[in-house]
Order: sequence, then structure tokens, then C-alpha cells
Amino acid sequence: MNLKVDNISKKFGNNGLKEIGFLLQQGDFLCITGQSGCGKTTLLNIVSGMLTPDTGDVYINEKNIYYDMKEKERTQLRNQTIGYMMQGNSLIPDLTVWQNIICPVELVGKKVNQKEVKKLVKKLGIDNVCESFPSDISGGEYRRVLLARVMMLNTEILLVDEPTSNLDENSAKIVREVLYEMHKEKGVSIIVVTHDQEFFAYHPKRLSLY
Amino acid sequence: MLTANRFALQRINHQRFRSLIFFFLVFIASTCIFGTDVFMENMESGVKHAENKIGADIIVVPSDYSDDAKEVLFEGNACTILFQNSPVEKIKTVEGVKHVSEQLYLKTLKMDCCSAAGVQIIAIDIHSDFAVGEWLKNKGIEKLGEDELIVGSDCGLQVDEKIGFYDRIFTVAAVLEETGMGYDESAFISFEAANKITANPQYKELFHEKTGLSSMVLIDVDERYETDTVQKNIINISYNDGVSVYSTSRLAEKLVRQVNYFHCLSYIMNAFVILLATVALFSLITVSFHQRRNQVGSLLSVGIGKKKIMQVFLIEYIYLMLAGIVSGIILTIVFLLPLHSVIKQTLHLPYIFIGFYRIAFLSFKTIGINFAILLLALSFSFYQIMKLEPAILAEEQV
Repeated sequence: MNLKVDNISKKFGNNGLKEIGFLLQQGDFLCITGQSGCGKTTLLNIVSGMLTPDTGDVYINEKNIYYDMKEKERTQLRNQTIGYMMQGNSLIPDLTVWQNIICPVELVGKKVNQKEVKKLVKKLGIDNVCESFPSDISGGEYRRVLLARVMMLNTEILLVDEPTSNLDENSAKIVREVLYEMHKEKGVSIIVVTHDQEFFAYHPKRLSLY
Repeated sequence: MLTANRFALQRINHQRFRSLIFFFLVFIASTCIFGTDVFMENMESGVKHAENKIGADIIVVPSDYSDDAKEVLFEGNACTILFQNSPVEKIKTVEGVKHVSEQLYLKTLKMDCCSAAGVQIIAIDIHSDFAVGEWLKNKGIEKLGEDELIVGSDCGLQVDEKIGFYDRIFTVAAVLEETGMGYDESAFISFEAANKITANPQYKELFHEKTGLSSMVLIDVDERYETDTVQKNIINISYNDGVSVYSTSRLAEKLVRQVNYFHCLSYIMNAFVILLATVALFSLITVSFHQRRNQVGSLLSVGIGKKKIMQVFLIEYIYLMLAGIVSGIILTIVFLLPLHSVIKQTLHLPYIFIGFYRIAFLSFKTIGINFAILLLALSFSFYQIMKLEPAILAEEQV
């Protein structure tokens, strides 16, 4: 699975992304860094098909996701090919943690492997909050639930926005280890937007935005 | 399994306050729409039925009792009406008169040890009467004995029960079906029985021991003649007899005007309620969608399609709406049915229950109106939300 970002530009307010391009190949681990407001999240939004760029193209296996695909196909793409863990409070407040984790799979008519979910939540250390609602869990738990939700999709590419920000060291370590494991054992291509220097010890590819 | 249905139910349960507000809005709108519809149709049906039930094209009453006649026919106010001299024989000679039938209206006296007071007694000739007589023949009742009577549907009496009027004991032979008019609170006896009452010396002051009295002449016009022409001919022939001649439709005209007035009011009220419900539901759904737009963005970010998201919202509102509509309809039925007689008496207008088929139709109409509002509001809100890009909906920094 190849992801090619070709000369992407997007203006927002006084800031903007200008002519960004990179190639992500099967099994790559890319860390994107940069100052606040430089467009890291915008880049992930564009790559995931959630925000149309002003100029430039995004290709998945040579297919332009904005010109060769309709919106419906881009939505399917995020369920089958590109998993995207957003930065904000994007859990559904009316569903329990467990339901939030399984909803991207079960709402599209597939069945989840309960054992697999139990194993995953245990690994992420959120097995004790599965029946809670998002409003009742801590910030660290919240981010791990977001990660679990996107991991349930078993996609070939994973986009993760600030997975360890505001987490205590223990929670951050768990998140990093889970991402490394996915990369090593499942061969998932991962793009992480982060300020966390610990990720660089993993020797990823790096992209710095200014 | 987390289905759209379960998702929707969980949203209802988790957002109880918002769900309750939505439920009550629909409940109030449905109660008003359905309630006014049923009320108006009961009244319209009452007037229509009253005209048909009288059966006659023309009615002749003593001039002094014109208002009493209208009241007794349509409002059920009991009274005694008597012709000085019955014009029936003269009327029979008028060209265009096909059938003639007489009725005698007597109001029962104050209650004593064995009499019921304030009840309207109507003496009829079972063989010539167009209204009650026809109905009795259809029921297979060919004769009405001197000690038998037929009661209206609102008299609260059953077949074979006994009741006393003017010191005579009568047995209920049949109960008349609901007419929506004064007949419902009246008791019908034969002219033979009425003659026994009027000839009784005990009531000399009232009836002067006379027999063959009458209060009203009902006329059926030959199809080949215009009712207005026959009416004019009757007026000409009985000019000096102190009688008033009405066509039935004319007699019901005031009622129709009153019903139209109520109709107009109900239209205004219905329009107001529908407008209010539309604005309220529109606002509630739009605000609710706006508040949850980041959830829509979140679902889109993990690949849940727009159709599925719309399905979740739709199911949620359909459940709340159905609960509101069904509760509104049930409350209206529970409130209107037991109070049917009270409303009828209070209105002083013909009022008849429209039946369960019509109730079912009006229920579907209420459901239809509410669902049209819902679909309109949902489509508008969904369009407003879905024209934005998923990243903007998710309120990510862009």
C-alpha cells in the first residue's frame, strides 16, 4: 500500500501548508513535527480525505482520492484503508467506551471479535472503564480509547494525531508501545503527528513542518 | 451488536431532557391537531346526521313555538309544543306533498314518586313517521304498544327497563341509535299512549282532556317538485293558521353557520399549532444537529457513511415522534370519549361520534403531518451539516 502526497497546499487564516509532498510505503513509520499552527493536523485531515486541499493531490495506490473518488468512497477508505485517530474530543458521549470502540466496525454491519477487543483494551489499560461513558474517564484514558477505536479497523495505514499529548509517562509509554507493535508485527504504515521526542528513539522517518 | 437502532435508543436514554422536550412538543402538537379534528368532525357529522335523521324536506310548527322546535330538534331542550288546530289535513291537499307525518312533543312534569321529570316525550305514528318510524321498521319493530316506548341513546335506559311519565309506566322496547340531535335525550311513544295522557282529567289544565293533539308536521316532498315551491304553497294555504313553515335545510342553516364558525376557529388553531410545532421542532432539531456536528464529523472520520448517520438520527426522532403522537392520540380519545355526552349537552349543537374508522383516518393524518414536519426539519438540518467537509464538522484545527 503506497501513499503519495504531491505538492499539497492549503491556506487557513494567516497560516497554511505550502507545497508539501512525501511518499509513504508499506511498513513506513513517519513522524511529523513542527510548531503549533504550522498545519500538521491539516495535513492529516487532507491525507485522510477529510479536507480538500487548495492544490496538490493525494494518491493511494496511484488513485487520486480527491479526483478519482467520490465522498462516499473516501468515507469507506477511512473505514477500510486509512485509520485516523483525531486529536479532539471525538468520542460519542452517548455511547459507552466499549460501544465507542466497536462502533466503526459494527455500524457498518461487520461483527467484531470480542476476544480481540478485550485483548486490545487490556493492552491499552482501559479494560476497567469499558462500561463508563466518555465524560467519566480521564484525559489519558480518553486518548487510549480513541486509539483503540481506530485500531479496531485493522487498516493498512494509520494516521495518529498527538497520541501522547497530555498523557502521564506511563500512559504515553503504553501508547507508544502499542503503535510500535502494530508497525512491527502487523506491518502497518503509520504517520504520527507529535511533539513527543520519545518517538524519535524508534528511528522513524521524519518530516518537519515550518 | 451495536446497530443504528440500538445507537438511537441509547441516545434517547442518555439525553433524557432533550428527548423529553421533543416528546412533549410532539405530544402537544398531536393532541391539538387530532383533538380539534375529531371535535370538528363530530360536530359536522352531527349536523349532517341531524338533517338526514329528520328525514323530512319541510317541517311545519306552530309560530309561537318556532324557537322551541329548533331547540328540541337540535339541542335536546325539552318542551311542550301544541298546535291550536293541526294543519295536517290542509297540507295533505297541497300539490307536491308526497308523505305527511305528525309528531307530538310533550315535556314530562316535575318528578314525583313514579315519574321522570324534564324528559322530552315524542309521540309518533310508527307507520307514517319518516324519522324514527323508518328506523324501527329497519329493526323489525312493526308496532309500538300503549305501554311501550323507545328511548334515545343518551337516556341511559336499556331494553325492558321500566320508567314512568305522566303517571303511566312504560317499558323500553328499543334504544335508538345515536343521532347527535335532540332525539338522543327523548323518549318515543305511540299516539295511542299520548292520547291516553292528554285525555287524562288529571292533566286537564295542560291538555284540556283533548286527544289527537299534534306539535309538528313533517312533510316529504315529491321528487318532481321543488321544495321551495311546495313550501310556498303550504305557506299560502295555511296563511291564517299561525304556523311556521321551514325547509329542513333552512332550519339547520343556523347550525351550519355555527359549525362553520367553529370550523374557522379550528382551522386557525390548527394552522397556529402546526406553525408553532414546525418552528419548535425545526429549532430543536437544528440546534441539536449543530451541537452534535462534531459527533457527525467523528463518525465520518472512522468511515461511518452519511446514510448510516442519517439513519441513526432518523430512528431516534421517529421513536420520540411516535411516542409523542401515540400518547397525544390516546389522551385525546381517553378525554373525548367519556366526555362525549357532556360535550354534546354543553355545545347545544348536534354532535355525534364519527366512528373508529374515521378516528383511524384522523390518527394517520396526525402522524402524516408530524412526520412531514420531521422530515422537513431533518432534511434541512442534515443538508446544512453535510455540505461541510468532515474535518470542519469534527472541529479539528484546519
